Amino acid sequence: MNNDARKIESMVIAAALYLLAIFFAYRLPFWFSHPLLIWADQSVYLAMADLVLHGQKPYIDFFDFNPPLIIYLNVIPVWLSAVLKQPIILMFDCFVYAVTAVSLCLTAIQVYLNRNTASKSTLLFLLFVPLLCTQTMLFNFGQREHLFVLAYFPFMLMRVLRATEDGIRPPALLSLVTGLFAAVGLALKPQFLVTALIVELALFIECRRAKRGDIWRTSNELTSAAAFIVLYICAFAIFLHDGFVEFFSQSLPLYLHGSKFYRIGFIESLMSLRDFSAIYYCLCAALIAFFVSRKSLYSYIFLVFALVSLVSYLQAGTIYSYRAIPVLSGSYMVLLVALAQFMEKILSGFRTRVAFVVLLILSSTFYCYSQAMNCRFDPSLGEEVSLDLTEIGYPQIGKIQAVSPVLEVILKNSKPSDSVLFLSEGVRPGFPATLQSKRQSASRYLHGMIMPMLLMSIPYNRPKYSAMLQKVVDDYGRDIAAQKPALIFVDQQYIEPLLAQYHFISRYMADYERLTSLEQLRMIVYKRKAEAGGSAP
Amino acid sequence: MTPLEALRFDCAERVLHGARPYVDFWDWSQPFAYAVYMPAVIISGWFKSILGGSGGCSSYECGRFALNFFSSLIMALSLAFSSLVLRKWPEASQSVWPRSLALTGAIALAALVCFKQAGDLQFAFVLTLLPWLLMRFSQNEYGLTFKNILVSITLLAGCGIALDAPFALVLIVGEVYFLLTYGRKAFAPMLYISLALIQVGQLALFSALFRESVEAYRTWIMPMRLSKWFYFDSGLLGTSCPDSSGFLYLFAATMAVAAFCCRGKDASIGRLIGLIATVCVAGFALFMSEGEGLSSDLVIAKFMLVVLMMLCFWALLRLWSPRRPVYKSLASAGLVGALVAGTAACGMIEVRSACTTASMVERLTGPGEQIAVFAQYPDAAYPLLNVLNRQNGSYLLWSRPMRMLCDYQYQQPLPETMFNFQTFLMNKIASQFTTRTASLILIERHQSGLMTFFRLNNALISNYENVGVCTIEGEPYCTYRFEVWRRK
Repeated sequence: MNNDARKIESMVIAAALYLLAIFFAYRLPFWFSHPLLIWADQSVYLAMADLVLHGQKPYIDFFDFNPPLIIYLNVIPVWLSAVLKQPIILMFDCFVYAVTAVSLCLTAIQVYLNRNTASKSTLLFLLFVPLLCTQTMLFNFGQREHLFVLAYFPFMLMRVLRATEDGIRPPALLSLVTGLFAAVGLALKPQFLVTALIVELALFIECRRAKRGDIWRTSNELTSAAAFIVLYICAFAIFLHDGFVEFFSQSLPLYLHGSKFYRIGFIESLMSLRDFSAIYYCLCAALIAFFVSRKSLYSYIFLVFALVSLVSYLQAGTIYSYRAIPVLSGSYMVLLVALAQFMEKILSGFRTRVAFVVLLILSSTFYCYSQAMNCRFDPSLGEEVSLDLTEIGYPQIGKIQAVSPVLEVILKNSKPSDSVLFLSEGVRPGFPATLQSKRQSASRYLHGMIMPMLLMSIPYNRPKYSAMLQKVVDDYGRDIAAQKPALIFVDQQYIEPLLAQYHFISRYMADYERLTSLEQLRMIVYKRKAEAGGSAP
Repeated sequence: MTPLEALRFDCAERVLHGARPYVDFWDWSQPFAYAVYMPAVIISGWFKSILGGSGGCSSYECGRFALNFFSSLIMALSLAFSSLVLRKWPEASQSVWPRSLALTGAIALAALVCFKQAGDLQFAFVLTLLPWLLMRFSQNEYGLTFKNILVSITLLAGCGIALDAPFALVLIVGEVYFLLTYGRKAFAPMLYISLALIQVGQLALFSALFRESVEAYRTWIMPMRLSKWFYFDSGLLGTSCPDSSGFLYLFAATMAVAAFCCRGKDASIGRLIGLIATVCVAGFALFMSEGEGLSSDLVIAKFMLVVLMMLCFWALLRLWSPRRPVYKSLASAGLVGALVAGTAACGMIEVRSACTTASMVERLTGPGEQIAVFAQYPDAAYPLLNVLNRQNGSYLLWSRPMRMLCDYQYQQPLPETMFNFQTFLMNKIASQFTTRTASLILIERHQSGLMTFFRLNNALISNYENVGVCTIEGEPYCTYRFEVWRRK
């Protein structure tokens, strides 16, 4: 290695470390200045993790229809919150950043090991994928798809490096850890596993063509990932046997039939203003991949990943934008590969490269600094509200954003020891408000998705699902009698007409009086009467 | 006829009868689109004089024959030029004749798959684009020159771009691909200037013929068309039709295979696959940007996808069985082709459930009478009116501007030009109501509130009476529901 090359290498390593550090840190002030900021799904799994820590069993003591790993994964921030006496939401944010850091470290080690290979510039750009995935998230920060991409990316990179001609074979420990880390992401949802299998198939075909067939024989990462997934399924079946039976006999069939309630049309899923950016990114990525990096193996594999994720997103066809996260992330990967190749072409010579690195450092520093300074107010989070949160353990921070009207009603009309009940048609608006207010959910049905899903499932098996609906209504009634929630929120559009068929309000809510209605959310709020033990206004 | 074919056929007929586009009737197609339909209208007239006289052929059927005849003519022209380009590929590139044959077959197959939208603008455009792409590929890849057909292919591509403004973007994407793949040698200023001159020429001719229409196009049509790119019809929320998800699954799978094939040993076919894949993605991006999910917006992507599939299939066959005799490869390609063609043929069989509009219109009006249809998309009125031999009796041949003008005013006051257009439009509609031009008025569910918003209700109620509701099936709402108003 000549002197210039050494200088460039040291400069690039120093610059990369500096850029990684500032890009990792610049969003932290935003999350610290928004201590209540969390969205529905993430918060309900934290609440479920809390129940698990208190000895309850998923699917038996409380209901859900997702595989259990996400609940157990959320035990970590909940436990840390209890030990460190910090708010759960803050601990969750730190947990997601920790996952990002692990993903970044595993990627960085691979990039460092391959620093003298032909694809070093591409790898250098790919180093920023975990950060790009995390720092561009707002509403979907910490969603399962986000965690999956973070966990799977170092693994996918390792697999691609193994399939390249000059890729350095990773140390056994690194590949074991990478495999285990990826397995956690893959086990979160079945479709993640399918995506990974198709990517493996693409690699298999590629290796057959290039006559490199040994990437499966000595792949510790593959072995450890497979072993973890098998162990996870066995543990679920053995240690959570009743839940396992309940999950496959009740929850899963219900989900398969009932999730149609949340389906949207093809045009909407493709073009509605909220979601379509991911598809555009994917098209851009495909376009640029064919333009610039047709010959790159990285580009090919990442494009396959993005396209398989796109199919998965469209196949689900639901209103949830987080399902497009892998599409977006795959597109970022392809675009970064193309950018690396483009930069390599145009930046020739020592001085040009130095100038580019200096420019990059200056502009990045300026960007990160300005973002960190202006982190207190984000227009997409709505208006700022003054709330006293010291009662529930948050530090006094003056005005805050991302406060739903539900949270304000809960804080004004209940005590921290009270429980609340949401009879709604989704996870929102019960969550994140219940978690933010540190109240307990008064029912084993933490979210209200079950009732509309049962309604959708009835045509498939009338006796089974009608009986199940009756049981759910009775369960809600029993929970009200037992838990005596301070507040009950009832959805006016779907749930109230349904409950009226069972005379629910007259049968189970005699001790409650109408407090207010939240027009925007189409919810009526009932409060426990003072003579029945409700708190005074 | 597809709805857009029927609409433009109607427009071209009006222009041939002396009407001024955008001034005497409203539709936002480019002026050249009407010019393209004029030969079909003229041919239809001939058919009518030959066949209609014996009482065997209605105006609609004559129009349909003429359009199909004209589309087939463009298709034959495109295939002929493509074959002429492919024929010149050098012998040095392996198995040149089966490859040329396979590509020509792929193009013909793609045309067949999209033939349901044969008269739509995207179909015409893609047919004019393909010889251009193949010619430019041959020039750059093999260094070929095309003295005899260069002018014709350029003229054809120039006409294709003139059909609709965004089509130029697809061609530009193809040219960017050439520049990035082959470098400076791919830059062809003379060809670009020729294409630009064709655009200038057709616009100049239009300006000379329709002076008032030019002004209306500049101030009313263009701003509205541009703003449409940032507009999402909220009426589409909750609709499940048309569902092109099957296409998208195929698109994703084919793109993955194309990315694989691009990395193959045969660099030449890899670059060709890259080119077609790029244009296919651009076509799909265009479909997305249109934001309505209409089948007619998907033609470029669908056409290119079929060509791409055939190319990938060819490349894979060569990869896995390099020693297999060529005729076996061709037979396999033929098999896949037959499957795709069969699928396309099945898709062409139209299953329509009963709609009540036709019977309502037939019951309440006679042939040749005027009917005004206020609907967000032309699909509600066309080709129904042509089939029933009724005239569209409204300045707005389809009433998208009403919804758009209304939606824009929720955010901020209208710009002056749009406000002027709104004033002109509302006066025109009100006067049509007052003079009772149309025997029947159909107002679609998504438009009915607009009559109140634009204060047209009084004019409507004083001159027309509500006689019920009717429905019709079509893209993209699945089912359109109308209020029916009859002249008092």
